[in-house]
Amino acid sequence: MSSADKFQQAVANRHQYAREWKQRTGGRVAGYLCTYVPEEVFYAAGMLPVRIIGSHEPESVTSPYIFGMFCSHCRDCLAQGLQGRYDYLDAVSTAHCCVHSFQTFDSWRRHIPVEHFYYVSMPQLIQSRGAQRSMLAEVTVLKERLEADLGRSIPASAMEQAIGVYNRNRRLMRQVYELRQRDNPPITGAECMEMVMASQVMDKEEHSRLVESLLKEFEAAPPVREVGVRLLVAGQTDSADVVRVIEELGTTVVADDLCFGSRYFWNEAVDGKDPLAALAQRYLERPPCPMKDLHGVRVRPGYLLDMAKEYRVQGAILIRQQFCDPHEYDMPAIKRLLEENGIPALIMEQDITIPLGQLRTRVEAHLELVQQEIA
Amino acid sequence: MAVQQRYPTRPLECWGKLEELRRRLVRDTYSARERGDLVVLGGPGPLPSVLCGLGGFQLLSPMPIGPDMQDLRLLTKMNELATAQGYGNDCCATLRIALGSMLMDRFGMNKRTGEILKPDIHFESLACQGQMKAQQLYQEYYFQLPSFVVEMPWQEEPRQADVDYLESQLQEAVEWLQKTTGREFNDELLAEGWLNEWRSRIYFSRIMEYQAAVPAPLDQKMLASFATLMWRGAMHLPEIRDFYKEAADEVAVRAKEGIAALATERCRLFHEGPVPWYPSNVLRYFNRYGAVCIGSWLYCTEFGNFTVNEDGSWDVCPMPEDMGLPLKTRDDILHSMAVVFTRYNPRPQLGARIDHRVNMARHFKVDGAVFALDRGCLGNTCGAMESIVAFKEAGLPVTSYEGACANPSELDQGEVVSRIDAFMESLGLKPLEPGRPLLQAEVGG
Ligand code: SF4
Ligand code: SF4
Repeated sequence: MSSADKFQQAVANRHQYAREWKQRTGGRVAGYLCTYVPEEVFYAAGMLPVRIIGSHEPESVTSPYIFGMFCSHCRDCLAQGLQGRYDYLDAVSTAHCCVHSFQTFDSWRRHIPVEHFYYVSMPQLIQSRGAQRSMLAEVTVLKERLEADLGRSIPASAMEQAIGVYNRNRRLMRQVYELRQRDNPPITGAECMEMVMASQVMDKEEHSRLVESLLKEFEAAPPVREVGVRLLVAGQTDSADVVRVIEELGTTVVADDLCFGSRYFWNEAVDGKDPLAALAQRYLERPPCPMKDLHGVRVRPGYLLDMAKEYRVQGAILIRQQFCDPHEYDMPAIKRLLEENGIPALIMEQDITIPLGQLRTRVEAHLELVQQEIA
Repeated sequence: MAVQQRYPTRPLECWGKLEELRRRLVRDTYSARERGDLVVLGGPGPLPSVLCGLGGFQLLSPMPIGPDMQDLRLLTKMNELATAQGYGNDCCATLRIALGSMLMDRFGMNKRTGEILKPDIHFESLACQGQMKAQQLYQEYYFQLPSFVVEMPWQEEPRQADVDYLESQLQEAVEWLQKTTGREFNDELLAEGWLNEWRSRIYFSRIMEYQAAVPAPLDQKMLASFATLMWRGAMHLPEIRDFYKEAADEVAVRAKEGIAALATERCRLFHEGPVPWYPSNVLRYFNRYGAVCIGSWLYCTEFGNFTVNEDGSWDVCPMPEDMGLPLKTRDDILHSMAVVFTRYNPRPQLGARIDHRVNMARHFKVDGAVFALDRGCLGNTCGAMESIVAFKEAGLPVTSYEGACANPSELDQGEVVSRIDAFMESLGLKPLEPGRPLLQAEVGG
């Protein structure tokens, strides 16, 4: 089995993986919703942090708790909890993001028995002068609460080690992303996304070893594939199959701005005297999601344009989950800037719980437009 | 036939003054340039008094309030324009009409003279994600306004870190205001404005607290009218502070003497969620059943500063002199602002709002609750479904209807009426008045 296949398997069998990890190590598993959770703290406490991911199936269990206008991703995640698929979690955490993800977290807290819940009430105005201090306070509180709940302290050396493990993992994944700048990227967008998602559900060291193997495989025999139209995918989806559908239509997704993609791992925690301060800074400085890009003029459109240029993309698909207003506020501005710079961009709404068959037709229609604009 | 009990009722004595102040605020806003006042886009959020240090200023609300909101044709057009720009129905409904009115060149229009008032800067303190994202649109669509937003921290519980964060943002805000406007910052004016805002908020909180009395001295529509001065961000003015004091004293007397807002009160309700701004009479529709909407968690926390006890009663924020905080220097003032808005501000405690609602419903002796599930206000529908579950678990009758406070196409009036009628019937109530008055909104423009 190739390393890429192993990533796919890891995501598909994430519940089994976590259960086996628990059995093997006797450790605890912490689920998190938002990637602004400084998960290194859980790792340093000997826990396995795993991202809560939906199953992309229609569901009807969340309607008593979540209003129908809340995003499909959040409803899908809560459905997993209500259906007992995450019954192995010892803790659930999220960071202050949008009201949708808060709702999922709060409903989880109300209806699904889990021993501990951790809400990271981080600042939204990440550029403001007090943000670093506020974030540091949050990371510190998280660590102290974990220590109290676990009944043991988390030494600075464990924090430093966790940061090292995470940074290495990030560095390796960035190496893979850099290969996508080539004329013939050795990896597809869907495979890349599976690599990142596997990192969110696996032990980081084990995942890093797999990424190393992947890089070696590429050195030995880079896969050959028709590249077609080079695309950037941005917005929100937790389904690599969506990207696969796009790539089946004569394209390669060479860059992404997704929190199930580059946004998750792009920057490292820079070593400093205080590991908690390094963590706080890392999370404030990572590529922002729409709910952290609030101060004055938006930075995301410019950031995405730079990425588009660096990866020489010819078109962009901006995926928005149905009823996701945070992304909706940014997308017209992103689309405008990309198009002003000759990159046709299409905003595509998706309900992650609706089977992909219906999506394919829409993507195809969208891609025809992209191709016309490129021609 | 049983005789329906009737409570004594009488008009509010302070009503005339309220109307006069409302008219004056509008006049002052549109004559800002004559006095050389700064015009600031902002207002309904907390802490407009930070601006007081700059001297004369007028606020123009980013939520287009006023006659346009009653005009279905205009509202529909504004919503359509926003959709065409890529801001669909799931974006904040008030943002969409603000954007629509900017695109129609109506934003900031003096409806009497047709003159447009252009703000100089945008300054607000916000907790809502829709509003936070909206301020970027003001820069893109609205004259590239320089903008500064203060984040009201979301809290699981009040914490020192949030006080520090808010205080540091306020320090930064003062520097930004000075730099951007080129005006000197006067700390005495800042202190004066803040102390007025603080007192106004406490008087307003007390007014709402008296709603626990049976019969309710006010109904929710009256509360909303009182809140218009708050919505205009005018609580820092001494005459507004004095008005709220006078109003609080009058409502206290009404509560004590059993003067009702609705003479036929026999059922008390919370109307939760944003009330549609068109048609304007949803809240009064209940009256024909002898039911009165007395307030809601949402209404009370919009401008109230208090903590909610387990029995649903409140501890209203103390007056400045009773708070035990130094109030001499600029740092003292900014610190006290941060303390008041982290310790006595239940609004951003998202997780607690469900328990607050149920406990408050008991304390305010309500017989049930009606939830407006707003398709264009996710900030306020967060927790709504969970609240409905919690009300049912607590044995409190509850119903809901869907709509969007500023988008007429999202509200089916016939459906709303049927749901309310069915709910009233389930509570064993029959209309006291014959006929079937429908909700209505004016069409003008
Ligand atoms: S950012 Fe959008 S997709 Fe993500 S949780 Fe919030 S609403 Fe849902
Ligand atoms: S509270 Fe609701 S209406 Fe107000 S800005 Fe937020 S989402 Fe919009």
